[in-house]
Order: sequence, then structure tokens, then C-alpha cells
Amino acid sequence: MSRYPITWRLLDLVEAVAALLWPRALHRYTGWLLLLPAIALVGLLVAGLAYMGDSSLRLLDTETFEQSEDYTLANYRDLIEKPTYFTVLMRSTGAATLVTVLTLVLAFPYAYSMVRTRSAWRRKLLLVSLFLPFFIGQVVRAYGWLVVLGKTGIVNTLLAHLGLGPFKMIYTYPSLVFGLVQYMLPFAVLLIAPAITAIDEELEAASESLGATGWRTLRHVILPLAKPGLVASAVVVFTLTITDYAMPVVLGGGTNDFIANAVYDAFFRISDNGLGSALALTLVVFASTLVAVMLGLMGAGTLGMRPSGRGR
Amino acid sequence: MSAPMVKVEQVAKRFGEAAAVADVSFSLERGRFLTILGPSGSGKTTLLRMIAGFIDPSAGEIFLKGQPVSAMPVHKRSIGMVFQRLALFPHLTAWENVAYPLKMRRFDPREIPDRVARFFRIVKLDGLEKRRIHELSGGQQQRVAIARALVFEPDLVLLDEPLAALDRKLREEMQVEFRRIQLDLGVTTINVTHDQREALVMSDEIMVMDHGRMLQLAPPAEVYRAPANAFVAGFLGLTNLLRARVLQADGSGLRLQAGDREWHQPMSRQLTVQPGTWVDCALRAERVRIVAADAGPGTGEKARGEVHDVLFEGDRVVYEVRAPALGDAVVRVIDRAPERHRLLERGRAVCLDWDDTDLLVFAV
Amino acid sequence: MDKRKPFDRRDFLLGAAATAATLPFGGLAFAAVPAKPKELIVRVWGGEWKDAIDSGVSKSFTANTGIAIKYDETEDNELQPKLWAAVKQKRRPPVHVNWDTTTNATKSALRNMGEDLSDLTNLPGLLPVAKPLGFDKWPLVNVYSYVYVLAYSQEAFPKAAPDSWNVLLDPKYKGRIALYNDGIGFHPAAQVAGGGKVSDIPKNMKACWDFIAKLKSQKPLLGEDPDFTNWFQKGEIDLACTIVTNARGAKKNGVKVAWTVPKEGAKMDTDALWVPKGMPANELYWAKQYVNHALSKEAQQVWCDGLGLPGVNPGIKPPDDMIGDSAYPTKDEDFKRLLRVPNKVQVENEKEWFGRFKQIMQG
Ligand SMILES: Nc1ncnc2c1ncn2[C@@H]1O[C@H](COP(=O)(O)OP(=O)(O)OP(=O)(O)O)[C@@H](O)[C@H]1O
Ligand SMILES: [Mg+2]
Repeated sequence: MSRYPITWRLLDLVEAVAALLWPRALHRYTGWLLLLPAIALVGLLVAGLAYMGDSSLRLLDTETFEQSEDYTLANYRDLIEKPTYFTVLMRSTGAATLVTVLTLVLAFPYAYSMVRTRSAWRRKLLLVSLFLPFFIGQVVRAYGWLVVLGKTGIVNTLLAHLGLGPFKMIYTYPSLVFGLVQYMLPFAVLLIAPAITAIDEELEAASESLGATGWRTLRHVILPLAKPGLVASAVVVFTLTITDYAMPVVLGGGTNDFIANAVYDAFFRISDNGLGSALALTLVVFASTLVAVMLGLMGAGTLGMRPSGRGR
Repeated sequence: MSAPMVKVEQVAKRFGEAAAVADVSFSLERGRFLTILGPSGSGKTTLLRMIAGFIDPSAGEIFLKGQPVSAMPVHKRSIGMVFQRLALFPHLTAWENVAYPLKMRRFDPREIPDRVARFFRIVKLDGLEKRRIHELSGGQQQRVAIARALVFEPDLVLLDEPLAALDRKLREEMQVEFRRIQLDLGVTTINVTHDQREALVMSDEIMVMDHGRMLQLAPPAEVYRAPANAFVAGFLGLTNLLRARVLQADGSGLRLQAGDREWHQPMSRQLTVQPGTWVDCALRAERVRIVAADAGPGTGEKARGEVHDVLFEGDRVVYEVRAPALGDAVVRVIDRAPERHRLLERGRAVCLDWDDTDLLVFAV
Repeated sequence: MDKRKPFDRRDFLLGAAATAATLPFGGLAFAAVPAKPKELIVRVWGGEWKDAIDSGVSKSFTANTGIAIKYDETEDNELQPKLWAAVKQKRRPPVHVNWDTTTNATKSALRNMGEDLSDLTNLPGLLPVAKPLGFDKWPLVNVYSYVYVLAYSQEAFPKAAPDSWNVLLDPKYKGRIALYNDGIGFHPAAQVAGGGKVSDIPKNMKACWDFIAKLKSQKPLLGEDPDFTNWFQKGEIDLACTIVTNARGAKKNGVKVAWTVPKEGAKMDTDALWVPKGMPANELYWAKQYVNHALSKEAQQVWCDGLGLPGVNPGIKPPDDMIGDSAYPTKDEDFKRLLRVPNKVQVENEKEWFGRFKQIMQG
């Protein structure tokens, strides 16, 4: 007698219960049911944005610390008139751009060798060294850099043995960028790796046999084909950086604030919800516009050769 | 005298312990079409990839136009390759795929459009230039791959079973097509296949490989008619192989025994075997004559048997005959003109006959 | 050097608890005392600050009443909007007692967020500085004062303390000076060091902003309370304008740090306790008892000792290491050297000052 496996029995049971809870007649709505949590989340977000939109149009009364009843654009005027906000916005954007470029430049070869290496041992090593810091949170990692790079840190101690230094390596803009790149690297690698896996290795061989050097193969075959992964990781790294809060606090030494820090200050330090909301909404609009532009730009252009491109 | 286009000298490739290619040497003259034929895993792709430069040989040297190429990177070798899975660039159009090697090899940009257009005409794809690869049929993709490998007029073209994935009709069309193009352009070509028909149809020369070794290199007719050993004989065409014992050997031939039958085998070529050893006898199925046993005395008979199976293939019939006298061996017989006589049915007693010269004997 | 060991403090505490038990709570024992909650939640700053209030106020309070004290270490600025929202929506506030800067507590009081503490039995005996300015009632009570001193590393100043805030502008210390990241505590000092007058605040602060602008080119580090202790300990800075408690914290950890009130003076400010509205009557009663206890001489002695700050209960003894310290004002002449800005002025101008400071520092 052949036995009916116990796991199958359990599955039958689960299916029976599911059929009771969600009758067959409702099956064509299953897709919507699965979407429900996402819709609820987005709805909440929209509600939050609407609330902030309202708040951003009200002025803080410093006599009572209440928001004004009537609407005004004063908060937005503040953002435009006070050079601090422009400076901070440009710093966030500049850093996000720099961090995105540096991260992609570092993540791509990393992802490539991780995917293409023939040695399972090396692949594991690369994966582990990628994930170990990933499990350590952002803030802890940032504090780790203080320990490593500080005046009395490991690096300066080692340098002192060589009769060098001490060097100031933290609480500066470069250290902030460094910390961010290091933090973003795993995200970027994880987004790029599948795109590289999807490229048939034979295409690289073909390109070489057709006369392309390694570099030109990279430029004309691998990069264009890995573009979905590159664009995805660029967008993720860029948005995570431009909205980052913790790194400027920990590694910026207090004089390298990003917009998120200004938002925090407005909400929590001077209790000005209106200004905070205006800043936050500006960040949302600004960052999404940049990302849209990024997607638009990177979605076009390939080898730059077309049948019509005669005499180019 | 100019150097051969390709010369392979005692090339071997080991992956760990196993030898994928062992001690292969051959050379190929300009404009010739060589097919490497062998069963799966015999080392065909490995040999081809060593010539292309994707794999470094463990031993030996490869020469292109007399120049050793072991230190020459892939992109410097003037070799066009058509890959087993085509390896067309999915992000480029058909036109861009074909133009790719020209751009990479820094052809004069003014020359590129005309040249690409010419090759689109050669592979009969004109009008489909702007299509993306996934917008083309399998056969069309094949043609793009061929155009891309030929467009820069390489010294050598390598084909790694690119036709294997096509259905038979299309495959046969492409075989003829490619051979036409190859002859027109006069490009030296090495083709890899395990389709014997393809090898026989297309090639100037066939190289048979097994277990990484080169067993024979000769024009198709010679490989077919005078196989170097029992494996080659068995691999090409439909061949009966029979183990026989050597009873006696002298200048005039061999006295052989298989099952209950003993016979004298005249030998056309020198074969030194000792009495008491075993030999392999190969007999092409189409060289065996078959008549019903009750059809009256025929021209002669080498063996009797009973029809065990009948495979009707339209233009020919293959009979499988069980011959008790030959140790109960099954002898396959091809009748090329089934329309001229009535088919022999299963169970029918038959007489088999063949010419002594058609029986090939190989030492084991 | 501070040689006090924790067990000394604990010994003292036992004594304090024993006397306390017989005093305020003993009196209440026979009255109709509202039901005791199991615990009270008090918002505190971490580190030195939490240790001090725990050993000074909470331990003895728990010993006397059996009510456990739980701490909420949410940043004061972060808790503020939550408290406001809770009171406004008539929900139970997230904490029973808020230990807050007087500036923030004043903000909340302006919004009418705090319970009136006028009936606390310990109020009458306190120093005048305990009473919040600009209110008829007691929506908060100041609990001690503190000074934003010029703290310095003794390795950088082995011989004598720097005597002026202008030392911050010395190129030698470029990148090795630190301020609060909202500039708080520095404005009056900068105003005087820049050649202005404290009485001109807030009308004419040009001297202050010019001084801060010059400071910017010195590449200061900007941080919060724990950062200063940490930076001195790690050798990242030589000079800082910070509350004396933080410098003292580093010193207790064996770092060679000292502090001074420079000739221009230093800003003095206060911290406060207040009880948010909206909790059940019995919890309100015990929350107020906690505040009352915190104002008692015994509690103040230990708590303020831990902080190195002068309390509002007169007659508590300064800690040994703070005796005669200019940052621990006890005499009139000490107070004269300190610079004060009314909390109301501070609250009303905070946003403006904050903006100016950020504009200079983030530029
Ligand atoms: N990278 C490799 N590592 C280890 N062994 C390999 C490798 N490549 C090929 N081999 C082995 O070498 C032998 C020859 O392989 P090859 O691919 O050349 O065969 P083939 O003749 O092309 O076969 P097919 O007709 O199936 O394509 C096989 O046994 C194969 O398993
Ligand atoms: Mg192969």
C-alpha cells in the first residue's frame, strides 16, 4: 500500500480551510486582496503627505507655539530666502550624486566578480564580506568608523607607529561620503548582481571574438545589458543618500547637514511643524523629480549606431 | 609556398585529471571547409574554443597563417565565430549586431553601411535590419549570426553546432545556404557537429573525434568508404559491426569465424593480426543484398536469417535480420529501391549476401 | 580629581532615605492618600544625567513610596511634540514627569501643557531662581542652574586656563573646538566676546553673529551633550563651550579636562521639572509628589552632586571638587560674572537664532 505523505495531508487541510475563508466565487478578486496591504500603505503615505501639506501652509506663533489658523506661504518663502536651506539641499544632492557614482563604480566590479567567479569558495567569501557589514546597522557602522578613523583610532595609532599623523579623518565631508558609500555598497551589489547573472557569458566571448577588447566589451555589451540593475541601484542609492539622516549626524561633525537633518531640526529642535513639513515636502518633490529625470536619461541610448547613421 | 591557414600541433587540454582533447594535430588550407564530427563530450567544442582563443591549451601550439597564437588575445585573432546558442546581442538591432565587429575592428565608418548591407543581402535578410533580435525567427537569427561572423571577412570562421537547434528542414536548408556563402567568399571554415549528414554534405574534409582523440581526417567520401577504424565506420552511416575470431592469417587474407560460420576474407590492405585474436568486421547496411529464401537460387548467399523488423522510411527500407549462423547477430540491411519489389514481411526467411571487399576488418 | 566612589554615594543615600521616610510622606500617611500607581515614568537625559537623578531622587522616592520609577530616554525635543499631541487630544501623556530644559518647558507652559505645581510643600523654601519667569502660577519648577563653561584639555593648556572666549579663534585650535549644534548657550558669551552687551539681546546681536561667523572658519565640531564628553575622551577637541557636567563627566573618566568661566562671563541657564496634563488624579498626585521630593534638600544634595550643579534648595553642600569653582556659583560675585537671558526672550527668538546659527555653520 502506498502511503499518502503527511505533508500532502497538511496541504489539503490548509486548502480546505482557505476555501472556507475565501470561497471560490471570490477567486477573481484574489489579486486585489493581495494588493490590499500595499494599497493601504500607500494610502497612509498619501494621507500623511496631505497632512504635511496642510501643516506646511501654517505659520508658527512663537507666543503660544501653536500653528496659525489661516494659510500662508511664509514657510516656503523662508526656504527660498534663507540660504541655509539651499546650501543644505545642494549638499545633499551633491553628496547623493557623488555617493551614487562612487558606489556604482565600486559595486559593479564587485558584483561582476561575485557572479562570474568559477570558485564557489571565492563567491562565498565575497558574499559574506558583503553581508557581514549589512547586518550591522547604519548607525553602529558609522560609530565604528569613529573608532577606526578617529584621532586615537586604529588607523592613526598604526600611523603613529610609523611616525606619521595623526590625521583628521572623521567629522569631515569626505569621511561622510566614505561612510555613505560603504553603507550603500551592499544595496548596490545586490541590485546589480542579478542583472549580471542574466547576461549570457557567451555574449562576452562573442564580443571578444568580434574584435572588442575587455573594456569595449564592458562598455558596449555588459554595461548596456546590466543597465536595469545599474539604474535600479542608482535610484536606490541616490534616494537613500539624499534622504539620509544618520551619517551626517555621526560622521559630519555637525557642519555637514543634509535636508533630513534640517527637517529633524525644524520638527524637534525649534518645534516648527510648518517649516518642517515644507522642508520635507520640498525634499520629496525634489528627490522624485531628480529620480524621474535620472530614469528618463538612463532609459535611452545604446551603441550609438543606427542604420541611418551614415558617415558618422 | 604559403603557410596553411590553420595548423594545430599536438594540442591537448586537460580539465583536472580528465583530458578533453588529447594530442590533436592537423592543418587546414585556405578556403577549405573542415567539419569536426564526434559524439557528445568528445572534445569538439574544447578544440574549437582553443583555436578561437577562449581556452588555453595545456600543451601544443596553434598557428594561424603560420603565426603561433598562444599569446594572442581573442580580439586580435581574425576569427569569426558562430556560437552554439548564437550569442546575438539582445540590446542591439540586427543591423547593429552585424555592424558590431566592424566598429570594434575600427573599419572606416564610411564603409560600414555598404558592407553591412552587402552581408544582409548575402544571408538574404535585407529589409529586416531594424528588427531587434527577439523580433526575428530562429532561422533569421541564424542568418544574423552568420552575417556577423563573416562581415569583417575573417581569416577563419568557426561554427559550433549553430544549426543543431533548428528543425530538420530548416537545418538542411541552412547547411546548403552556408556552404554556398562559404564557397562564394572562399572563407576557411571549421564546423563542429555530431550530425553526420551535415558533415558529409558540407565539408571538404571531416575530422572524426572520440574521447578527445582525432581518429581520422580525410575527405567525406574517404572517411565513409575507408574508415580508419571500427568506431569511425560505426559512427558514419548505418553499419553492422561483428566480432570475429582469427583462425589463420597469411598473405592472401584471413580465415575468420563468427558464430557457426567460417569464411576466408581476402584483404586489400595490410593488417597484422595473430591467429586466435579477435577482429571487428564492419559492413555497411546498404552493401548487403537481401532476397527471400524461397525466391529460388540467387547469385549467392553469405548467411541466412529471418526478418525481425521492417522500418519503412519512404525512400528506403531498413530490415533487421536475425542470423543464427552468425552467433544470432542482428544484421541491418538497407533496400534503396523499395518501390521496385514487394516488401519482405516480418518472420520471412531470407538470404543475405555481400561482396567480400565490402566487409572491412579492423584489429580490436 | 573626583575620588568619590559609588558606594559612598549609596551609603549617603540610605541615610537620606531613612530621614526622608519620616518627613513628607510620613505626614501624608494618615490622610486620604490617592491610590498608588505601580510605577511612574520620568523622561531623563542619558548617561551622567540619568545616573544622577536615579541615585538622588528616584531610589529614595521608591524606598519611601514603593512606586517604581521607569525612565524614558527619548530626546527632550523629540518627546515634546508627542506630549503636545497627547495633551491636545486629551490622551494620557507618555510620561508622568518631564525633566526638560527651562526653555522647552517654557514653550510647553506657553501652550498650557503643564499642571500647576503651586501647592508643592517644598516650594516656599527654594531659591528665587526656581520660579519660572513670566507666569503667575508654577507650570514648571526650575531644579538647578548650570553654566555653559569654556572647557579645555589640560594637555593643550598645561600652565594656565585660557582667560577669554577669544581663544576659540586661535588658529592653533582650528578643527579642535566644539559647540552645541544649535548654538545654544553660546550667544551671550559670543555677544560679549565680540564687543557687544548682553542687554542688547535680542535687539542688537551683531557682535554675537560676527563672532560666530569668525568661529566658523575655525571648523568647529557641533554636537550634543554626550558628544562633548566623548570628544574630550577621544582627543578630538581641545576647547568646547559646554555645560560643565559634560566636562566633569570626561574628567571623572580620567581625561585631563578642566573648565573656566572666562573674563567675558558665561551663560547661566536652568533645567526644570514639569507634569503634563491629562493623567488620572491619583497618578497626578504621585507625579507631583515625585517633583516635590526632587526639590527636597536630601534629594537635591545627591542629585545635584552627581551633576556638579548648584541646586535650587538653599543650603545644600557643593560637591568637594566644585567648591570654589566659578562654574558652581554660590556667592553674589559668582552670579555677577554669569550672563543670563530671560527664558521668554529665548523662547521667542529661538527659531530666529537657530536659523542664523545654522546659516553660518552650514554655509
Ligand atoms: N570547463 C570544463 N571543465 C571540466 N570539464 C570540461 C569543461 N569543458 C568541457 N569539459 C569536459 O571535456 C569533455 C569535452 O567537452 P566538449 O564540450 O569539448 O565536448 P563536445 O564534443 O563539444 O560535446 P557536445 O557535442 O555535447 O557539445 C567533456 O567530457 C566535458 O565534460
Ligand atoms: Mg559542444
